[in-house]
Amino acid sequence: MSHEVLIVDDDQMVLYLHKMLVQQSGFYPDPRTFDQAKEAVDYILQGTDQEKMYVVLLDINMPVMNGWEFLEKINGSGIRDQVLVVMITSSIDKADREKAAQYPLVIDYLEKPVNITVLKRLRERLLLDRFFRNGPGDQ
Amino acid sequence: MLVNPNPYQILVVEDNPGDLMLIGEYLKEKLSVPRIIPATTFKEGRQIVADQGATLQVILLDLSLPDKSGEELITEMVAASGNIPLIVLTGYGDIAFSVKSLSLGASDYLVKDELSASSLYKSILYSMERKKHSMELKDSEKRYSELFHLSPLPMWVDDLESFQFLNVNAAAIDNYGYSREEFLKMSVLDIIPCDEVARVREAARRSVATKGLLRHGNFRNRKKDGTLIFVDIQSNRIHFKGREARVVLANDVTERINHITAIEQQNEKLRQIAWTQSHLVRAPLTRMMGIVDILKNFSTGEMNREDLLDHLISSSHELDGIIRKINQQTENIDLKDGYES
Repeated sequence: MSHEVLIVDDDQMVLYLHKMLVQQSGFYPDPRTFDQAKEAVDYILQGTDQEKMYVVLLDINMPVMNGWEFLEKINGSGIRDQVLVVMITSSIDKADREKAAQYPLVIDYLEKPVNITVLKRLRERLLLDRFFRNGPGDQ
Repeated sequence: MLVNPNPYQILVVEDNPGDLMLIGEYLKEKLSVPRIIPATTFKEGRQIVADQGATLQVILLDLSLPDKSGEELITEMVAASGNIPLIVLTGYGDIAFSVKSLSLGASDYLVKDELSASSLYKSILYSMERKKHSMELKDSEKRYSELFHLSPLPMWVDDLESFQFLNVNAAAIDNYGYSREEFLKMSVLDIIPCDEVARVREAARRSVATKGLLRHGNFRNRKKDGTLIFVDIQSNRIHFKGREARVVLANDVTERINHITAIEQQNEKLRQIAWTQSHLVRAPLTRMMGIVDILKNFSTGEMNREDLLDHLISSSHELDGIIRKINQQTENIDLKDGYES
């Protein structure tokens, strides 16, 4: 089973930082970044590999399509079993955290700023969950 | 029969000395202390009433006096006598008119040729008692009428079928801007906006079905100048001049409701500020924290140190801008602001 890590955030600087941390933490060597949620949805929906898992680091507050709309789109598609979402947001609003918990495909909720320790821990958790057993992240 | 020991002061308006003497004799038989004040003309009698009215218990009035007689005499004496009972003394020839004298306001009439000590005494007592009761009733009516008219809260009486205003108090006239005459030509339906008609009819149905006080809640009413106000309506059934009606208390709560709306608007603004705090402030802040983390712990990858520092500076300016904006929003929150809008 292959997998891919996507980073979705409208802030270019955040995309740069998160990409670096994902690489440095050994989470994934070459994450794909999107500054528009819509493009990330399209990318996932256009995928042809039915075995492939997508791990999405998702911001909430974005123009055009926000994190919630992204979740709705994926949730309503046939591909939702192939998507795991980690919300990464600057929001410390409790309501956002509670709302995220209602989506089964959201596996974690992280408050910005994330650091390398947090991402290493997330990676280990996913390994334990055996999602990465056969993937490149396990090397 | 026992002699009544109370002191009585009685005005006798009688031009015939023989009749006056006879009346005096009769009174002395039944009253221990009768004080008779004689007068021989209407003019004299009226002067005595004007001077000593408060001390008089009863007036005995002969129907034909040298200066005035008949209907005119009675009408003017009744007007002058006020609270004092007036008993008319009459001869046989005037019996038909004597009956009419009662409707003009006399308390009783006595035919002179049939007069006796006991009939005179009885008539005096009855007349005084009746007058007392009718005065009490008038007093009580006046008190209730004042309760209605002087109430600081707007009140009216309206017909349960036609919604016609049957009475309004001063506070209602003051609050709505319609004169009393204007009110009495209108119905409740004339002072409500169209979309309240169904609720008003429903409230009337409840009033018909219920005895006792009803709270109907808030309604919108329109003043004469067109302003819409909120009134808290309570009503109670009454019979008013033979009609099924209700007395309505219309407490103007517009100001209170405006205050609540203003507070709700403020809460909404505060929610927006809280949302901004949570989402917008932290965006540049977390970015700065991330950059610092990278600068401190890692080689900077594709970006050089200078670029990262530039981002750090622009993020700090962004943060400053947002905080200034929040400050402005907070200053804009003003009770008056919301109240007037």
